[in-house]
Amino acid sequence: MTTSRLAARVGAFTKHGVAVSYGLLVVLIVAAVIYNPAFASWGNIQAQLQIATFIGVIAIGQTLVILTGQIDLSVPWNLTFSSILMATLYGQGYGAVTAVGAALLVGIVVGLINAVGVAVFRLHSLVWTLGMNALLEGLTMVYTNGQPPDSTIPGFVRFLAVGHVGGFPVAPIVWAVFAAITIVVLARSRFGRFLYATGNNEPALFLSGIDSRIVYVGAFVASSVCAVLAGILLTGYASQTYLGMGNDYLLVPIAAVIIGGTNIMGGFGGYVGTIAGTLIVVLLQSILSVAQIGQAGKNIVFGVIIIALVLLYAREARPTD
Amino acid sequence: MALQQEPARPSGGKTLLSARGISKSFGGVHALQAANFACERGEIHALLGANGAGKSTLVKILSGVQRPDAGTIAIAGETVDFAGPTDAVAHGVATVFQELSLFPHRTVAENIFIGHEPTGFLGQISQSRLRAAVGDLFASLGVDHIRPNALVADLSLSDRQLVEIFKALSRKPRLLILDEGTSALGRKEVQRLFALLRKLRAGGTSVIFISHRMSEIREFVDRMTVFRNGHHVATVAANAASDAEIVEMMLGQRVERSFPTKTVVSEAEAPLLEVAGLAAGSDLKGVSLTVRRGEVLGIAGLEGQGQGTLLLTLFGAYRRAAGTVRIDGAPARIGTPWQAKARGIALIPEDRKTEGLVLPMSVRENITFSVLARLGRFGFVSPAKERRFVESMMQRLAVKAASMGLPARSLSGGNQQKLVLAKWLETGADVFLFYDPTRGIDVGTKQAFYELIAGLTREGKGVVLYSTETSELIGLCQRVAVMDDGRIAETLEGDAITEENILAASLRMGRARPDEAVVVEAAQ
Repeated sequence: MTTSRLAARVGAFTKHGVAVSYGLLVVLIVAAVIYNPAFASWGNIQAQLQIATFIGVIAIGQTLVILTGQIDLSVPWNLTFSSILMATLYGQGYGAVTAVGAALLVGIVVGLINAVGVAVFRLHSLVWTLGMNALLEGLTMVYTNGQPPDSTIPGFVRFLAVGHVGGFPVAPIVWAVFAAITIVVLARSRFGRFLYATGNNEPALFLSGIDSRIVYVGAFVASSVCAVLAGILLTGYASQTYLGMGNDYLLVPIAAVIIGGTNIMGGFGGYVGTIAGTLIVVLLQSILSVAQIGQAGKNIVFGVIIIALVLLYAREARPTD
Repeated sequence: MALQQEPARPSGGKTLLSARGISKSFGGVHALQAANFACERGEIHALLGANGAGKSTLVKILSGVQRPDAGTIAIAGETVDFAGPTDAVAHGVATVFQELSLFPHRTVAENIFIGHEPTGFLGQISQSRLRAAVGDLFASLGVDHIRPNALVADLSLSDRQLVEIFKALSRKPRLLILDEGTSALGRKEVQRLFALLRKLRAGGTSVIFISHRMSEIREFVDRMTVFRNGHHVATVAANAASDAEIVEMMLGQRVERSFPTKTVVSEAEAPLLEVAGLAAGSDLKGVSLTVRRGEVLGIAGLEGQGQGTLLLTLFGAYRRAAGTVRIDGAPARIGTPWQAKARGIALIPEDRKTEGLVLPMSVRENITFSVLARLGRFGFVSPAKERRFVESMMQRLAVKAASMGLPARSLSGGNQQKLVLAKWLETGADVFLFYDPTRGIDVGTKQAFYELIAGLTREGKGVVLYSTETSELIGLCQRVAVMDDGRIAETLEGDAITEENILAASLRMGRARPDEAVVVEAAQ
């Protein structure tokens, strides 16, 4: 009796994945500060936000794609290839605008190809974008001859990544701007409306006379461009590009989206939750590092948290009709 | 249970199957109500009834797919309670369903013996014994035109249906049920099949045969049983009742309902929608029709005669194989639903839950999908404009919902269907395609829908209405096209639109069935 009532309570609470993820975030922050008060220092907060920016920007795209019920696995080598292209072009004497523009163009083309596979050929993105990732890895190897590129970085890229304005780091501001745009687009735009409808019930949207293919194009191009932007910021942050620089940016942003309460099958969730998810994964990594828990331990903790949350959210996703 | 005549063909006189007092409901809808059915040993017995009479439910219960809510089934005097389809097969009941259930990329032999493959001494499937078993089966049935090693995917539709029947026969059933199991067969093949079934009958096997081809039934079966509204009406010898008597047994007493006055449409008026030779998929084989402004064209026929494909193809959701569509005299190329929308065609699809609505999304969002571009600027939606639009639509259609923010899922079926219609009313559509819009909704809302459809015609819209409720077609339509096998069998007008005529046209009574086997194969 009591257990079932408790289960009902928990069930009602988890109806809001966003509330769960922000609750978890608060618990983590409190735990971290109690464990080591230095977590609350301005320097540490800046460092955490810096890292969160890369993950958060990629997670914008993943949120949009996952809301349609798809996934983008081409992020790692899309990020790496476009960053190396940018740095190499700039090093060869092309202008900063040309170099960054070329990187963004790569992102748009990759996103379009991803969308065509899903929307026109009706292949699942799990396979299609994985193939795209392998293709881009191969292209990168051909382009660089397997050698790490020797490159200089445009000044404004450095500024976006590590600059400060009035004592505040620029990168998190960039993230905040994109986050705000994403939230408004999801809540208020026609594209946002159709995105949720596609993830919930694409046939109904199709039979409402709406070209759902455009939704996939928007989501995958956004995801791809977000990956390129994160790559550019990462390049500025590290002052260099290197092979495999995108390897850590596939599963962590996806984890951030899921922890933030977005349903992996599409249709439910949003970027407000993903922000909490992003901060949770960054903070958790940091706490585990400070606690000197090795990579294996980190993986175990991440795995447990994702499994637990997915189980919790699955309770609400169960169809009631 | 009106007249229970003497069986025409006693054949030993022992009852093989006896089902008594069978009831089954689906969410308040009574599919079967204390229905009785009996089948003799060694007879071919047809099961007849209009849409919704309960035939399919009875077949599902007899084959163990569904369990009855009440009632008993006995086979050869032994009471049985099937736990599932395998259990029914173990008791000697094999069923061939309307939908084919073959594995296309396996061979004919593997499909026929699926689930009871002959095995070798290690328990592995023995290919040689499988070949021998199929060889024996084919020899006993006199089949020589299908190779046991052929892939099912390479067979014609009619041969696939035969394989399905052989699969059932490989179980050596005491009772074989064919649920529309001959719909893809040409006349010659049906004759061959029945020659074979007669051979089995001589050996004591019984066959329950569901078909809507009256001529087949007359020609091949011993007795027939008529169902209506979930009740057993009568069991008679195949030739003991006239066509008119059978139709009357199937229809019974009518329920009178009031319908709005039909809009008067002038014959001279130019057609709004003209369709010529439309064909698509495997079940729409060439339909021509016209709809004038202010007219409701009814689409009738038994279920699954291509009506759904017709509406979805007109709406651009299916690729058409042949045919032309004209709107207001101008050729319209409609290949997608958005092209259909742009040309002024609206569709109220079959299943409001999966095709009409996005159930978890709100009433407000569902009403505005098709007109969202008009309710804002630069790709963004104006909340105020949207709210006003939704309020006016909810008022106009009298949608009962506590708030427009509620998920569509929380509304009643009738109100959900109103949302689907609301989505289209302000898109500027001239042609409204309705797929059985009142299925499963309450009487009051049905009445409201009749008024709404009549209202559309008064505004000069054209309506194509497919309905499984014949009384709606009679009450609402100026003309009714009865479909059979992907074509229009007959178009009824004015006083000729009666239940008798619609049913008779659906069943193609008194008409010989053309040999369509060649057409079917050409369409592959």
